[in-house]
Amino acid sequence: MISLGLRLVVNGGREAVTRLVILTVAVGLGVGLLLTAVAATNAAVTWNNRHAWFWTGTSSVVPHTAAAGTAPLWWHPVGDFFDGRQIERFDVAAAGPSSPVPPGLPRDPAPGTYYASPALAALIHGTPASQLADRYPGHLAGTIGDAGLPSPDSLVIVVGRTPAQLAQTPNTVQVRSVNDVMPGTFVPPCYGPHCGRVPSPEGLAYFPNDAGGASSSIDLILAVVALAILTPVLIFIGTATRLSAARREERFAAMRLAGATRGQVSLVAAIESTVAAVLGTAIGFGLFFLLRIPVAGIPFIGQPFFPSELTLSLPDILLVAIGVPLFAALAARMALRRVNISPLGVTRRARPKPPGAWRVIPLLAGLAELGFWTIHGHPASIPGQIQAFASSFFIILVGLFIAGPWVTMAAAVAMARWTSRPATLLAARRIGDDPRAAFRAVSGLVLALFITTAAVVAITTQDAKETTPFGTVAQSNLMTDQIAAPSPSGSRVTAPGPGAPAAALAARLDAIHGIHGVVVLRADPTLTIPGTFHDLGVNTFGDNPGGSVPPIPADVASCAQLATVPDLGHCPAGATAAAIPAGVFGPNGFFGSQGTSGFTWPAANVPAARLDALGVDTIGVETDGTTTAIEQARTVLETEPAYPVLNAPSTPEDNVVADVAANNGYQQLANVVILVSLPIAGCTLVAGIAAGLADRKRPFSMLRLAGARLSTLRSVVALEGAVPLLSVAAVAIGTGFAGAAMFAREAQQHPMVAPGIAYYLLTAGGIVISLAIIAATFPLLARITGPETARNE
Amino acid sequence: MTSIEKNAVTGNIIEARSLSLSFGSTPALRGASLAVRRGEIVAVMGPSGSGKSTLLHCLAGILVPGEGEVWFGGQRLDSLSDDRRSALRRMRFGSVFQSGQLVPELTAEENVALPLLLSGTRRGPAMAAARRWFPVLGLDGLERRRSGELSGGQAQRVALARGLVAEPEVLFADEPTGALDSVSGELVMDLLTAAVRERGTTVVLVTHDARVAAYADREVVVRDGKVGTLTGSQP
Amino acid sequence: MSVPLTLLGLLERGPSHGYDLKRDYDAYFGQGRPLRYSQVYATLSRLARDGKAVAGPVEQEAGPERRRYIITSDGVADVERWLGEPVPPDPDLQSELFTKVVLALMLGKRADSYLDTQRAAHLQRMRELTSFKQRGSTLDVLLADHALYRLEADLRWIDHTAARLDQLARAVRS
Repeated sequence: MISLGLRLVVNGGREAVTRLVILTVAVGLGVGLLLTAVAATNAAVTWNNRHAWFWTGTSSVVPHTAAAGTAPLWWHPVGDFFDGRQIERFDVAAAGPSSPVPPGLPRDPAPGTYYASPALAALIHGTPASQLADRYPGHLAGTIGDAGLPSPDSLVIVVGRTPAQLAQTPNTVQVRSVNDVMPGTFVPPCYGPHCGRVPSPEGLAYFPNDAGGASSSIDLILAVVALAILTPVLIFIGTATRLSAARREERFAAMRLAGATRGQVSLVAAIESTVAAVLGTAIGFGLFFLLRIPVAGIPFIGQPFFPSELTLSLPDILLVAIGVPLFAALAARMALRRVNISPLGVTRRARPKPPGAWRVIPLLAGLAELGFWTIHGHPASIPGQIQAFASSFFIILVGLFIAGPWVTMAAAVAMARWTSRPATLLAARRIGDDPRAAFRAVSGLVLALFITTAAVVAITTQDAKETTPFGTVAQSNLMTDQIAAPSPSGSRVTAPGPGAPAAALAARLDAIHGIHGVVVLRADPTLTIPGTFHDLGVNTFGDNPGGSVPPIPADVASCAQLATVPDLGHCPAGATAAAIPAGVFGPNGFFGSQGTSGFTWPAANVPAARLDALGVDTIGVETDGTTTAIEQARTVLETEPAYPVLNAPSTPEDNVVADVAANNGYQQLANVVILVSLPIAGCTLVAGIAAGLADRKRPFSMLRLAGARLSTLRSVVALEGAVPLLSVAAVAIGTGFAGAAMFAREAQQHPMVAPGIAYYLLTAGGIVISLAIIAATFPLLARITGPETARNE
Repeated sequence: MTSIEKNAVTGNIIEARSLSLSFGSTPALRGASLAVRRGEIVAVMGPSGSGKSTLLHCLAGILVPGEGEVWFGGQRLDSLSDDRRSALRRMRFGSVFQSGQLVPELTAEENVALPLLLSGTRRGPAMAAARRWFPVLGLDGLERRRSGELSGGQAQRVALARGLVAEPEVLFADEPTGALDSVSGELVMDLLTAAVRERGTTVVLVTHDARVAAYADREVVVRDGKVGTLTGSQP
Repeated sequence: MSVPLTLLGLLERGPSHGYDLKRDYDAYFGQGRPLRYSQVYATLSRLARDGKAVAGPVEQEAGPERRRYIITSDGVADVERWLGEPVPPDPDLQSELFTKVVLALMLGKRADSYLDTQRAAHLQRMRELTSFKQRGSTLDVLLADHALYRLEADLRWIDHTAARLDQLARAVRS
């Protein structure tokens, strides 16, 4: 039997060899893409896990129990910025030789030395010291190896200090092990009794700048991306196999007539497909290994991968190497089901029943469920939210697949009813006859378009939500340095920095070229200002919607300094000091969203002489926005010995970068999914169209002989491809927008924001590419409907 | 007497009893009955669309009737599994249809040997059995040709060889000369009748062509899904 | 079927005795109904009288008159002309069938079963002719084919008529 099957494959003549080649190429492409996606997933997981040690000592992770006798490591993590990029800085002091060592380092750095990532080392080398190198005490002892870096572009530095130094620094802990597991979810720093339980309450309430992703959400996202790429690829392979198998149904009918059993025919059919699939899989592996290094450079997630991370595990390889040929064999077998029933071949094929209108019910149900959450409010707990929204989206997705054939048929019926052109009628009838097949070709698109539309809209909405719109350019150039440690309640400082050194520091800052002004906000525990403030245009500070508004704690600023930074508000005439709400500035304040340039703060009854003695809460530095000025100011602020760095001094720009970096990564991913899956869907369509053409060689030739123009036939083919493509795309995109709109309103508490131009360009571009691929079959049409096909043999 | 003995006495090798079959809502057979005696050639005639091909397909085990029974050699044929019926088609039945029977990728001799190969016969003996038919049917030298390279008459003779290679008990022929010109058609029918007379093979021959039907021992007519004779005797 | 012209054609092959002519006629064209000697000689005499053939001298032998006959150029021309003329399509062959069918319809009898009976008879005849072909010589085959095709034509007319019996019945009874 097998030799018979092989002989059928080999002897098939030109048409069969062409089929084999096409199928092999299809499988090769698909497998290559698949392997790249799998490897990228693996790389993404590795990339993510390389962030794990950044979380050492924080409250988000539970530390390992260390081996007995391990000396502790003093650990002080702090984020830093340079020129809009994030730097992870860790000040460490080893208590003894057995102290834990972070990955990528040969040993803990001795005091006065530091280990930097290669990218950061290059930056330090190439930038004036006053802008960067001066921040780090000591000299470069070596570079951090790959094992400690998520990406070749990562900026990471581990600075060696003495235990005595770190013991006095706030936000420092002693650790006995370096963390190696990413936190499952990210719990934002929370202060006060209303906070939920954190895994390590005694750890630091610290979020690394370059935090990676919570492992559970990373897993979910990667799974979705892999699915979004896998589905169109599998559908493509399946369609190509199925069509190639169906072309031979007359041969198989002849075999059945001669007495072959269904099993025998299936075996023979499977052989051709399996041979092609095995060859194609080998080609796909070859493609993958060729493209590994260029692909690693593509920043799928906003950062490039290390090429060595784009690996395939042994289970991955086995799964693809065995799974794909198996899948192709099964697809071929399924394709022959109808022929297996009747050895009389194509003559006795009954028309399949048209898809019923009930098919739209699951889709509507999913949308209704999402609508329900929107109207009734979503569950309070985070797991409950995830469950609610994930289930709605999942039902919507499944509903799209189920409704697809009906949508296609409805479009075809409408087309048939409203047209008078023969080409349209032909195309509409053919689609209407087998809408399932027409939809199958574009179903890969459904997944891709729906997910990416919803994702892109959610991301842009999230960006809009988190991006602080800047009132003025001046406000966006304001750097704030938070000196005092935040209190559990978040609004009152408990440990302000010493008052005296601030004057000298302010003077040094003023001396930098490009600095326009410096304001030092000092803490006065007795000072408050009213909760309502008519100049601000909002009724309240803080989180008290409606209800009574108690007075809020305030800081004091010298009016002389405030005058140098007019965008922070004004003093009343004649005052020497003003009261400004504590917590207005800094990463936890709402400064950015309100803007303060027009305000006149109330006067504070603090004499100028006493000001310099008050503890320092925050220092604000107005820059001219240039990198040199900002970075020099940052360096000066960070190296002031009196004020250890808690969080790096930052401008609103820096904070936005940090917030949206992760989102940009996901946006990239969404773009990649669109870019990959739309052409694949186009290819799948083409396979279907080519097979359909071969089926209708004779009737089309007859039509041409009877006087139909080639352009009419081209229109038929074009419509048969374009109508399912466009109608399904429209439904998928529309559903994506609808779902995202509801999600935005409910989960993100923000009106939906339309995606940027990149999304429209990509989607339109992808659709155009698919249509172009369809148009590529036109020359084939001319060739195969020549008059020689219409001869009576 | 058991059915087998009864059939041996009456000599019926294959029998249809009140077959009914519909395609979708279109009835093709409505209580068709036919008894075929061993060794005879029966012509099944009738206007197009009358159901004669459907009757043949039921007798050959290609289609399963909705109602009624098909008996072959004393046992029920229509209730067998698809695999068993396929096995019958390979080894105890032969078929010659109007077109579409040859596998284009295989050579002529491979096509002839196909039923034997499908039944697990080794390649050597199968090909030898196939080759014996070529001179008999005037196909010398065409053993290695692909079916696309044969003329219509040659292809039909190859199909005939395939139908007979397994020395079947019953040969089912459906318009075997329908696509051929008169000379080729006559040749095919002459060879067919010579071969089956020699071996005592029973033949059920569906045709609308009276000159083809004239090769049979008797004719029956299928009208509106039922079988009758022109003289009113039992079909 | 013109016996004189056939004999004349046989004669064109070469001078022949009446006996030989009869033998050949019976073999090729007799179909089981041999000519009578008297008919042969009478025909030959008439042909000679009309100038299509001439009788040679009587050969003195035992038995009936053995004269050789020879064709004349007139006779050759006659044969030529006869061969060149198409056989008139015989309208009468269907006339009995036709008459019977129409009568049956007029009388309200079962015309369709009559047609079936005719079909059966035709098919039986065709069966006989077919097996005759398988045993006979090439000329037998040619002749049998001629008959088979005409019988087939009859059957096709019968099918055609059967399909229009209702129409015919109405036309006939009105």
